[in-house]
Amino acid sequence: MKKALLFLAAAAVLAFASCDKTPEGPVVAPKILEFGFLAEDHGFLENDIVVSNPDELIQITLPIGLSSEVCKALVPNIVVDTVAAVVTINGEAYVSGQAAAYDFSEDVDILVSLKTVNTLYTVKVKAASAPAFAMVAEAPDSTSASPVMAISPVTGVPYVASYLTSEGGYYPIAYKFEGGSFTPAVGSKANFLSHRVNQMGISFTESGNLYAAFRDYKKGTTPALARTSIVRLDEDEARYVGDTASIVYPRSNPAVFGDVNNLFVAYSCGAADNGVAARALELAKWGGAMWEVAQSINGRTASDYAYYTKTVYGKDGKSYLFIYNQNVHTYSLYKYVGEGFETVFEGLKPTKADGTYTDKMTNLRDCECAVAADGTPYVLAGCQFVDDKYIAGVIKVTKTADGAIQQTLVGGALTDRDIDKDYTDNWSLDIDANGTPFFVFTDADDNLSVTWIDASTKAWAAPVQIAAKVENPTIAFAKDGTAYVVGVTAKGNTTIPQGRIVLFMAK
Amino acid sequence: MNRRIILIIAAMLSLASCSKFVEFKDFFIAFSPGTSDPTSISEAGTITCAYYVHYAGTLPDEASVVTFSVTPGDGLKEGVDYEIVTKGGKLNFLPGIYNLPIRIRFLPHELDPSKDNSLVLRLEECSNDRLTLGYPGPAENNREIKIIKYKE
Repeated sequence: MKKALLFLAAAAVLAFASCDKTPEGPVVAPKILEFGFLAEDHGFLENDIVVSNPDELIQITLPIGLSSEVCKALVPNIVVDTVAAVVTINGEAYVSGQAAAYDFSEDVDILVSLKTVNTLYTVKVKAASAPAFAMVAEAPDSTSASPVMAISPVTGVPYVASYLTSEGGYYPIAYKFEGGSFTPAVGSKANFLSHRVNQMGISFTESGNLYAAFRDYKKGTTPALARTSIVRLDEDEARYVGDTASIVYPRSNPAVFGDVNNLFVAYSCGAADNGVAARALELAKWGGAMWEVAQSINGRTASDYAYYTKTVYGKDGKSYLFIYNQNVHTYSLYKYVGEGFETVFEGLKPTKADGTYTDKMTNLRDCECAVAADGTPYVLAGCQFVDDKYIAGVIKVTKTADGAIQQTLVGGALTDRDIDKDYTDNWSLDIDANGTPFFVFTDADDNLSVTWIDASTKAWAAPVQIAAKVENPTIAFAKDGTAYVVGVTAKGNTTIPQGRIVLFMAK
Repeated sequence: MNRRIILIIAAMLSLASCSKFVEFKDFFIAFSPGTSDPTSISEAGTITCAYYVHYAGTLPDEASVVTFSVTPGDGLKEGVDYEIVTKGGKLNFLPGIYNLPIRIRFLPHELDPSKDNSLVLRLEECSNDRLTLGYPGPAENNREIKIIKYKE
């Protein structure tokens, strides 16, 4: 009896031990984490094209200038979420790193399989065609300043702003382009304030709030009473952020960063104030109670003149402050990082095409910066790249492994673009989603044109005229790839009175 | 009394006749016009269109293979007016795959408007006999899709 009981107990223990106590869970459908084409596999690509966490329909547009023939032999780079997953492309096994080319001129099906579960992706690739800009909106007001533009990072809607002529009291105006036309950005009237302003900039914060910052004559029209003000442009009202009296007036269009109770405004200081020299960078911070002036940026020479202070909306989703240091003829770029700024490059000295640098080879009349999706900055500058003329050039700024700055003049200097002839505010630069630089300019005859870097020749494409007699342009790409150019009609425009804000769009 | 019995019997007979249900299979595979490319194609263009076939059901344990046919009207000819891009005449619905396309590349070629310039894609057979082809029901809706090439 005792032996039988022991035997049964042992059998029970063995049976229990052999049980699988952790049943296998359901298999989760495998996914592609990244799909793309890498520059190292394709000589015609300047930058990697990568789609992260794609939907089951992956659509890729190759940079402008490439023939559709290149689609017939592309090497895909696929990263899946499970090592054990098997990937097949149009029925053929895909091996990561094998650098095999596939024909993407038609839709390609990519199957990702893990045990008994599968996910199917379809990839569509096309070569981009040259942008065709068409005028889509015209503002009814007569303005006395170059329009400024910012695109909402949340909605993709472009907003433009300026201020009226003297007949309009120099009131500030702002429009959004929605529903196929300009509508007031704030309330029911374009002029969101009823007093004089100038030197205005608008900036979107990363969360989608729009701010205008300007020289404010609210307390009086004499220069001594002017101050810098920041207002948040809500849909119903323009709301002041703090008091207007505490910040000295700007010499540049101010740029705004952060949001709500962690807000920064950057501009060229109008007059010596609180330890900040005239013309130097005034960086003020709003923490919810008052503006704290004279904030510093680590690495910046505080006494350098901040002639331009521009907000740069990087295609990497970050905001940057771009400054032309007029007294030393250099450029600086800082990345907004929440509690302040970190330096991307400080005191960039452009070099000639032969690599040499001479003092005062930069021109203060116009410059811009754009940042690509991989964080690479591009600087549009008027410099003596070739001879003593200040001509346009786009400088790609990179760093070596040990942090040294490298400059590349993209596509060669634009020798036909002479800033002394094209004049101030008549150049603009932005980068599309593929990292292709686009340059818009108004020539000496006030005709607006656009050019870009052709991916096959790696040079500037023959310029395409957008409109006659439109000046002071700004170009910006929305997240969905739509390109917008805003300008103002020039003297001699036969269809629209001078001084009207006009918007062009290309999809 | 007799009348009462007759009424009861009549009620029972009518109830019995209402209980004739048509039995449908559990899941189905059908064309999905809402997610497919247009079914009206100009004679002039070169375009590849995708006509999606949708598997409606829970995650299966094994694949279902559906054969399909492509039947032109007397006005169209394969290789001249169109090409079948999806080869093999089969769609393999592996577990986890709910939508598969049948791709047709339409070629530019002048049409004779007096002829039948249509192309019919039809789901013919399925390896899984639990699946209905087309929506359940005698009409077999979306078991086939008809594409018309039109003259400019």
